[in-house]
Amino acid sequence: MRAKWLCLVALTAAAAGCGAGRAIFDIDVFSFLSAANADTLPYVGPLPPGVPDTIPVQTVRSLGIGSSSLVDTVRLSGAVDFVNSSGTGSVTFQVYFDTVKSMVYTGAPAFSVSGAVTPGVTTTSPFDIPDLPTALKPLFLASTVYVGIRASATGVISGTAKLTALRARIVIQDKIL
Amino acid sequence: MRTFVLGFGLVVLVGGAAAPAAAQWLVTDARRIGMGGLSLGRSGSLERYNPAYRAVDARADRHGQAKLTIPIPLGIIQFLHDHPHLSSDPAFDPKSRGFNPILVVNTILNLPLYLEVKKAPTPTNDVAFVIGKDSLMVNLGLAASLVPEDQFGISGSSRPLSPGFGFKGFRVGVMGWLHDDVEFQLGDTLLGFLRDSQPARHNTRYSALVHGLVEGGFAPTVSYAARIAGDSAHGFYAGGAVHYYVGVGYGRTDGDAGFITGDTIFGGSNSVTPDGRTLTQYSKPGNTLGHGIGGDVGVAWVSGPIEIGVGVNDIGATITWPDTRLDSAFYHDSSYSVPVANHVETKTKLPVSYIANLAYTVGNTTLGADVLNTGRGSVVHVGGEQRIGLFAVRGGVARDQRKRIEFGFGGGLRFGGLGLDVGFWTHTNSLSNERGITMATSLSIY
Repeated sequence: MRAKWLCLVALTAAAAGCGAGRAIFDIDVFSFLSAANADTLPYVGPLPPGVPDTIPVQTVRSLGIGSSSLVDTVRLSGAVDFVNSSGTGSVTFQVYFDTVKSMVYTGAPAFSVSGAVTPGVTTTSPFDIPDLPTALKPLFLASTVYVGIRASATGVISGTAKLTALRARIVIQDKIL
Repeated sequence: MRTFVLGFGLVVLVGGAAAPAAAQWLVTDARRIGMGGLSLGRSGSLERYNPAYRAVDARADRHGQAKLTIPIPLGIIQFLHDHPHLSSDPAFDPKSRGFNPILVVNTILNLPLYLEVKKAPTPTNDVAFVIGKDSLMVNLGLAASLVPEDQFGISGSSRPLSPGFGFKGFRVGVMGWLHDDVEFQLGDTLLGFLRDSQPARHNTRYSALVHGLVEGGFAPTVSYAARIAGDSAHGFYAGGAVHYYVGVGYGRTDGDAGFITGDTIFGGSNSVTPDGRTLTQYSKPGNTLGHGIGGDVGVAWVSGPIEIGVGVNDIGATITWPDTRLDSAFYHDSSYSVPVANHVETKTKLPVSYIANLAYTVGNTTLGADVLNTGRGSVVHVGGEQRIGLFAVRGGVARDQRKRIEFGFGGGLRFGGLGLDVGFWTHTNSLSNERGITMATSLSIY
């Protein structure tokens, strides 16, 4: 997402967002991650020393509205495919958000998705998070949000976690006017 | 982004509010408001736009015209109630994060003289933005109807001061004059994106045309108005004025500005490329003065209960500016400005304004209509008054420059030489199609 574009899309809210109307941003986060080849993450368990279980932090230009607006809800939905190569166990897929790049993986994940995996089988785990914790909501008002993904395995397993969909629906009670 | 949002809000607000501001908000006479803004006799816009009316008697007996009208600004009480600590109110403090320029401009454009009986509701529908790496679509819902399809803007031609002296119908004076004109027009692609929820396209230019002009000066004026036939009951009046316009300064810019999308809607670090070009021309105060000649004419016919008038202003008022500088500005990835010419002659033209009015008075009933055009669409007022003893009942309809119909109604109470009038006026703001109602009150001395 780019701020210039969002300036345009948000200017329209000026004509309508001055009442009690809400501004709803339906963002296909997956399209941004897949374009950066950041939608796939290998997993292995137990994790060998020196092997990362995260992707490099991805930068997403967010709304940049500022603190005068109030985020009502942030709903995340999507699905993860656990393409398991070997072993039996479970995989936990975690997504992180922060406005400070270096802090992305230091806090608690925004949400987690787990799936039991068996050899040679792809397990699809859909998820639907109705609303993120209140503390995380204001993050999406910033002009830049950093996203991280971690896939951690339990058991002696290996495979690939592949994000197939991730949409964020951000509802803002605009207080601009 | 808040800056952009507020900026666009200001444009919409200013553009949309211009018409009502010109059409109604400068009226401080509750009686006139009760008749839908109708001008009668020498009141309101008639004497301003029809020079013949300088010779027409006020005829207080026929129109119930007051010698002096004093507005009672109840709206200020309401405003101070809503903003009790104005000096420390963040919304009015430019240094505060809560500063709201839209509220400030709206307050200026709609001076809180009147009591807001019913506020015009603003749209409350949701606005949806669908965003992907290579997709963008906006759905404004019902608010999309507020995105202007046609040219919109502000335009005004005023004469702030006109001191002078007269003798036997002649008048010699100097009037100030000021003309401003700001226009915007969204391009087809931007209009389709905002109004019709069309998805953003690759390698496409989204833009708007922009035009702005402001000029001002003074004009030595000789005018004449007299009854040229008949008597005060049945008379034909004519008036005219010749102005020698002296231009002190002007500035004008014309151009279009927008941006161009890339191969991917949100691709790369700069997914859109700003793109704009303007031609700016100006003659600063201190340069050689502009000059031009123009005139006003008007006639009025009063025959018993009937009164008809027509006035035209600023006929042929073309101002020649002998010392103008022209600059061309261009932005695409980077910006530059190029002087095109300096000390060249350019011309501007004041818009021709006209007014036509009709009034019919019989007994205690007065009916009237007027049409006023100041260069950006006509404003029409139709209204009437029925006096019943001490009381008066009034009503009227107006069509503003945006072709919206507004209604006025009200009443009055008169004790000898003193009267109290109340007028109600429906209005729409630029962000809503629903009407609000304001109440004006004024004291009249007859």
